[in-house]
Amino acid sequence: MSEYYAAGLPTPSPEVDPETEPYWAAAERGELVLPHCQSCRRPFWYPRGFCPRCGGADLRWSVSDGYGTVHTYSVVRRAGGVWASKVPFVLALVTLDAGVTVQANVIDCSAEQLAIGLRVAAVFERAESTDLPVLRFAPLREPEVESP
Amino acid sequence: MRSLNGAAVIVGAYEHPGRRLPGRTLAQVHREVVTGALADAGLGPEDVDGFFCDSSAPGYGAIDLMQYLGLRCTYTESGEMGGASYIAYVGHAAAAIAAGKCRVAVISLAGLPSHRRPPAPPETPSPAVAFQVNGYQGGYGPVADYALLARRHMHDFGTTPEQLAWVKVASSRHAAHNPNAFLTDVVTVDDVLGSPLIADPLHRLDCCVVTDGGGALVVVHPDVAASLGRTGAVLRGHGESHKTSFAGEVDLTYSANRRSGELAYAEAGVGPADIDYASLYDSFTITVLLALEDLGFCERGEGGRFVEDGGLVSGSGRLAVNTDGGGLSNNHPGNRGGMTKVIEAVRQLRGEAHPAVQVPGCRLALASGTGFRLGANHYSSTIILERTA
Repeated sequence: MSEYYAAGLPTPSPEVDPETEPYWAAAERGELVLPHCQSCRRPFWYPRGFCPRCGGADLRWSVSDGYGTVHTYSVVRRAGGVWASKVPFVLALVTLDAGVTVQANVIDCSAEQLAIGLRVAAVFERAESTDLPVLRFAPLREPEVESP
Repeated sequence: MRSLNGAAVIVGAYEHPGRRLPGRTLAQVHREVVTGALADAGLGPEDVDGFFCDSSAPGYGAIDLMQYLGLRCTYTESGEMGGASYIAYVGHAAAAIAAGKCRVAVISLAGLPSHRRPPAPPETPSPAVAFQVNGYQGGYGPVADYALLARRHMHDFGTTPEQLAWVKVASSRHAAHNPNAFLTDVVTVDDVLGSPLIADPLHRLDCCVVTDGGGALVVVHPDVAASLGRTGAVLRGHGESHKTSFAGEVDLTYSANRRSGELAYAEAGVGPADIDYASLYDSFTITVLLALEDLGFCERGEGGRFVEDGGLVSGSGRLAVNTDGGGLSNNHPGNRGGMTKVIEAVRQLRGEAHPAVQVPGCRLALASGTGFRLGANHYSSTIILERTA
């Protein structure tokens, strides 16, 4: 049987920077929003209250379709703490179609599927209702809808 | 002075012989290595007026160690660049010496990871903490970050697990000549590939050792060096850099070593072809592969072919690298590899490496290190040293 990397990974909840409130409010709704700098006309990652390219604070938090491509990955087979009982699980870099690259776990994925270039979509996971919704990615199962 | 080329000389270098030090305190290990390095230089604690350590030193910055050691300094630093710190500090000490702030600087490292006291989480975490899934709080360790690099390198350039394994094989062949090395058994490519996967494609034997111990360096004004009559290593070039994911732009095909190397070569007025010996950071096998490319010892993507078939073995390979056995086999004290990188470079320049691994007529050596996590945010420092007459 093929190895399967299941959902249900730990979701540690660090303190949230109030500047990133728009991100977390959207995540609560299951939506991925990216901060776009209105001067640079580009999104950036990770979320903060200003653009790290130009320093501008004129941001638009716009909803992303959450589609992306696995840029690289590793199957973690040995880990400590709350992660110890979750091996094997996948750590990846995912390049969103919007152009930013995000470090995240890939879940709901089989060893056969897992590859550089795999198309994935954003999902949010939380182990406890009091945890933050943590951004993760799962392989696309439905045919992709082209954005207009 | 607008350059550090010739500004300072390493006249003392000492690596603690221990790799498991139960019953020792961090302060004791610092004292042992500082005493050892000063004795190597022919100097004493009363001569020291500059002191450099990292944020893991016991107490509040450097002052508690300076009190313990009985030092009186006019220049101190207790910063943090991870394993790259001590290589960078050679440059920082030289800058302080060139500016007249001190004349005899000691750089000290001690670590006791086998005592298993995990470092406390920082009081004020990174502003990225909520978005760093494998951050240093509550994460699952650095191996996965380096595995991301290794996987991408394989995808982009056809690098193989066998080629990565050759980095470990070379280190084990060197360590076999080092009686203090933590691991002295020579291993084969099959041994590496047969060891358990930790974060695939990296196996256990693709990872450095975890050892207690430490080391120290004595960096002095050239006039002081001249008065000592001991062969030393004069600083010819120094460069530092860092690389982050910045705004979400990630390119794993190069590291901050590229920039720190360019700066060090430019200051020294030399290039990779002039280097007789290289100490390259080897937290993992992939770390060495990328460093070879970033520092110009081979073309981008050619690291795998450079290291295979014993490419890094002293005497028979393409470039002698980490002839003490490096962090992969000899020593990685306190999870910080930069100190031992400088120490082995000094041994090579003095002709004091083990005869089986000594580079004949070694004149120019390079030591390079990275700190924190290469697949994520990291520091880099590179120095170029020349044997004094």
